[in-house]
Amino acid sequence: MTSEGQVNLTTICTPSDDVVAREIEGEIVIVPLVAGIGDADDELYTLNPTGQAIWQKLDGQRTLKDVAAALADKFAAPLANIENDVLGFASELVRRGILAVSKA
Amino acid sequence: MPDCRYYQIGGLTVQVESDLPITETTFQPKFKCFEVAGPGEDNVIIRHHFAPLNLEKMDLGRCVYRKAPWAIYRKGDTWIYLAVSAPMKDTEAGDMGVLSADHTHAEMYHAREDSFRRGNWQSLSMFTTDQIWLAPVLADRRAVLLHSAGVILNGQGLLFVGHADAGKSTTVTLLKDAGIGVEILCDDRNVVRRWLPPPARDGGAPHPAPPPPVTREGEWRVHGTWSHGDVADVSPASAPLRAILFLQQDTRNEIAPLTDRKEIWKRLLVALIRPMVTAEWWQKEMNVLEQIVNEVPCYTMRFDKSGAIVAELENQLRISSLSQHNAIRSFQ
Repeated sequence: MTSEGQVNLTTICTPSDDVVAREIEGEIVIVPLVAGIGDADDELYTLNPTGQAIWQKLDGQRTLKDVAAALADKFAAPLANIENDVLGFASELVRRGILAVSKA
Repeated sequence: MPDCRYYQIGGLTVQVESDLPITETTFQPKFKCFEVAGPGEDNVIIRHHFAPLNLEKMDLGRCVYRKAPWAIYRKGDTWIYLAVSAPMKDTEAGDMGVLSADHTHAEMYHAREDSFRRGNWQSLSMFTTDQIWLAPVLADRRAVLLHSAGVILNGQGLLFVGHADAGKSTTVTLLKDAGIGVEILCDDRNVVRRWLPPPARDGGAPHPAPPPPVTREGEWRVHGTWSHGDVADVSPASAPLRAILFLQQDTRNEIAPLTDRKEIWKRLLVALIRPMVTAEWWQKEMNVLEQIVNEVPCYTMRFDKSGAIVAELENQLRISSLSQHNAIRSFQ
């Protein structure tokens, strides 16, 4: 896996094999498979609306630049701002092992 | 011929065999009420063997998890569980379990006999908990193991859910002390299972263990377990699950419907007891939770320690009973 330091706009990210994601009541909940055995306290992640919109575009085909362009178009927002959001989101989730870098 | 005992839990029968004699003190007294005469319709087998493990020379397969007290390996279709402490190398483990892919068959190997002979075991597997095999088996049976307190009151199952200090044992104690004939299932871990009507029997030999409960179509039931907390009372009984109550200690005593499905999801997810999880296990269990969210009435229960909440619960159940008579599903 590539570290978050190597995430850039040409990177392609996909959900890691070490997590399960499921849409629950309109919210994406992510559960790690490699956490401790026992209760699930504090080891569940939910995405805010921005994160959710990005997550749904991470199809293993698009680069982060493509993802940002699609979202900028969808939300009629400045591309530079969206690219920053996408890069920040992807870097954080790669760092947490939730996203895997499939191509950089 | 190995010694053999049978125990029931969550509609399963656990057949425990041992190369050494199983005595009245091998397992803690709490297991006594779970003991049954023989195998049932749905069985799990746990066999205990005693011999030096010699793990250095054994091919354990691929390590998939390592965090004390467990090191877990996958080898072919089997799961290998090693009981380890932090500084220990995996190959120094004194207890090993080799479990089938579906966790219904466990061969347990122990390097030492003395701890078994000393007895007072808190689990049938002789690991720190039986959750490691129980939670995967339940997932294949439309069931979940929840961090919860369960009781039967007037024939109806109530499940109290909350974090470690939310008041599960306190609630059970208040109900017990009220002298209203409550049956305590367990104050820390309970099975919630969706039962389908049993298939028509073909006249085969009867099973010594009690048959599965006779249920209505798709009935949810709560079953007790032996994994208790502060309150030692446990029971293998089950009852239709009438309501899930999420606990909140307060100065008020109030039971109010919880209809925010997202909130119910979150509270149930954190109460779900996890074994060594796989993506498949999570998907199955989330399917079960989704059905629970859709079908079981949920409430918040604010309460103090005065015991006034008991009357409120009884009142709600009385209303619920009338509602059921009129084919209304709600707890209210």
